[in-house]
Amino acid sequence: MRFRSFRKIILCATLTVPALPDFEPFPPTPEGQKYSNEVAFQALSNYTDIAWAMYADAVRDAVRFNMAVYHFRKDPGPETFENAKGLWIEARKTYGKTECFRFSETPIDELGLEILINAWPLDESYIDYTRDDPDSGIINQPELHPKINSVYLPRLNEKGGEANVATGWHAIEFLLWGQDFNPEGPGDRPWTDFTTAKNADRRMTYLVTATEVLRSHLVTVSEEWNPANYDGGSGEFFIRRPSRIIRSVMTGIASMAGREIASERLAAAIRSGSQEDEHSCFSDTTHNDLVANMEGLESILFGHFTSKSGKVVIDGRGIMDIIASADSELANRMETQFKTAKMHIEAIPKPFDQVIIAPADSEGRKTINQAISALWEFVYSMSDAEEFMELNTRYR
Amino acid sequence: MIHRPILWGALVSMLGLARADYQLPGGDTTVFDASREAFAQPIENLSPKDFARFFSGDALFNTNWVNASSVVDGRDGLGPLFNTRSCSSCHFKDGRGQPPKPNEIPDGFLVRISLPGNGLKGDPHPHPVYGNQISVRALPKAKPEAHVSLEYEPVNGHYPDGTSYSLLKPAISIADWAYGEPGNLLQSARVASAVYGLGLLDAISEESLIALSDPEDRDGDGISGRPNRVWSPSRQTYSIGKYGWKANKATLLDQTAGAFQGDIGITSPLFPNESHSLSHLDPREFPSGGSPEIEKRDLDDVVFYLKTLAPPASRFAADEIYRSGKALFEAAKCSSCHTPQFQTRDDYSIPALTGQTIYPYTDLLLHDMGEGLADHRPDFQATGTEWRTPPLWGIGLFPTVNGHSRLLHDGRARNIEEAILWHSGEAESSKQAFMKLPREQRLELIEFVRSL
Repeated sequence: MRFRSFRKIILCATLTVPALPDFEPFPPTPEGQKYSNEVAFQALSNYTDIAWAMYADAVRDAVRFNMAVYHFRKDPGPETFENAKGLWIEARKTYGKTECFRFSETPIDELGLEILINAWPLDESYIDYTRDDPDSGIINQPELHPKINSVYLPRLNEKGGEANVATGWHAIEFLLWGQDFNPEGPGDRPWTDFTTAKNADRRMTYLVTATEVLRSHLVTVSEEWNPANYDGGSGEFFIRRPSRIIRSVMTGIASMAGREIASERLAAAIRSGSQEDEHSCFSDTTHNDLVANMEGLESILFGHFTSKSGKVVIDGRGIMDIIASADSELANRMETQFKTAKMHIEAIPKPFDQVIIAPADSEGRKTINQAISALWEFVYSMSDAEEFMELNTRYR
Repeated sequence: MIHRPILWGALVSMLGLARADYQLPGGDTTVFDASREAFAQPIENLSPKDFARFFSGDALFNTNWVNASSVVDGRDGLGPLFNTRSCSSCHFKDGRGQPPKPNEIPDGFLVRISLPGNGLKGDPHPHPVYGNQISVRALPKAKPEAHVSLEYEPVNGHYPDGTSYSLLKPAISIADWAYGEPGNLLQSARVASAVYGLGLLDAISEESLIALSDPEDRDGDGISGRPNRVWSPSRQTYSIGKYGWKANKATLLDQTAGAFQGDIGITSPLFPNESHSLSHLDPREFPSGGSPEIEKRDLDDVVFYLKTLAPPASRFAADEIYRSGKALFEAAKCSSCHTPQFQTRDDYSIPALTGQTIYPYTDLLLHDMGEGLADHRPDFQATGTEWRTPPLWGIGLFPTVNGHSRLLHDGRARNIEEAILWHSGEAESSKQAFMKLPREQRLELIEFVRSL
């Protein structure tokens, strides 16, 4: 029995997005349970609605970017090239918000697509020429890789090493910008790489194919959240026990904030001081990634989301409300901690690659350290909340 | 900043749902992940202040090294001769390698070579030109040392109940020597080992290994485990070897810096020179990526990463499967060498790894495994028929993580059953005990191992 199914039918009939407050398939809150099952169901319904709206936005922008790539292929030139790059940046920002659903037993991970959509860091020379080797990469090895198509390319992803990234955002980013040797700005690959340079036709095919593959993978993930999709992942989402779902979502938020943003992207980058550890290093848009990640987290924590077009406005309960139903003081504290972290992250100077090579006592590095500390304070509290809510059933 | 360990799922025991120890092979460090990323997780109780080091090491482990260049600072200096370009290409997803398919240049597999006799420290005697392993790749201006491939010969047999089996015995063949015929060589094929849980093994005291050893077989059980004693470049003394198929490395730093030098051609503070075989290559053709090519901090981060990769939780479907499998495992005396339980030291350098009760299923000691597995290439005190007991934790996840179930030092066994059937020498009676079991119980025992 999938509780979600019934709601889907109603949704289709009424064509409304917000959760229906009168339908609460979680069992009544048991005696002695710290948090409210009623609040939890409303918040988690809202969570799935936000997921659908957020991924739908990501798909729309990916399609726009895909069209711009087609335009560039049809009419290659500096304007169409810049246009494609601009739309990559826009689409990437929209996608960045959806990273809040990672590590939470949701479709992006369950389908095994994250690795094809967003793998990083990547070895440039696996895909194309580099400053050191003009003949490197899949593009410049037609004997080894005669065909570049949407079946073959995903198979090459992570083949023979985790840095051998062939598909996804960062592979496309490298194709559009090239290696970044420019301290002032992003990489500046000439658009003629796709028209007159050696293997230009293969490079163009690669760009178009990788873009199409990304678009189609995003559609797949997004469809799992489509409320009209009867057997989708969101159905799976609600089939698990309430405590398991809440724990997964809270663990996902903590993992994203603590391990992913604070550690892997911020602390490891300033530790090594290597531009190799910058996230979106070719386009110099790492700052956008960080801000978008925090916006996504904010949406699911507080239950608010407005789609880019403004047509879908979601304003309901968030994960914080579940925590507040157990301990409102802790929830208030966490709200402050999260907003402090978000403020520090927004204050990190751009471009990010100049901050990570700056001296340790520079303002930019100080801001990053403040952001890391604030994120961890938030994650500690999330751990306290998990403990207090007795969600400690890691398995079973 | 407050430093306290975060238990992502928090403490299970608080709920009265305490799990049996056997489900937590790494104690508090155990991670519950049976996905493709099962081996790639930091220990559960890692302090948040250590995450930056962990992910810094992670990035270095995954990075593809490039030839010496001015632009990729800190990740350059590949080769000129090398087996692979990154740690993760052999230890993919921190798991294990497999032997090459026909006509494939191997990843996750290499052939060790040496001349008969000992080197200066009692190590295998390196070949003056080819060193102690065959580099199957090279930068464009150099040639790979040789081409290696494997040929298999079937070894057929049957159980006492009549069920037949067929094993594969590999023979190494080396062709296209690029720098002259090498003469008489000792050879030994090796697959890359998985790298999770190494910090916990590191935290087992040498005393407890010595206590387990029984070189003269005083207890008369036919099993005479003994530690290898090897030269440790990082300690500058002889120590008990714990790592490698012949327990020929004493510390993880020795192992890691050795792999950077031998496998990727990256020099380090511990091994500041390219490996031996470069004498015949013109150094002017091959600029260095810095001296050393990986600096101390980065090397230490990689070692820290390896020490803090968690062993995955065991995956028994039911308590009965554990109990009945364990009874068979002990009755066949598998546990004489695959020692289930250890206590880690209280004074280990990483607090999260101290005082843990762990279940690696290895004694880290050398055992004579018989003629069938012998490579006849001694390594310090390990003879040509001796091998170190490999840990069994996580063994059932290799198909998920690495897409294969090849086992043993050269990956000849295609599954757990074949690996058991290759056991001989000191393990002969255990293998016989396994073979005499009825089929259902053999499967139970295999399922037990797969679930560890």
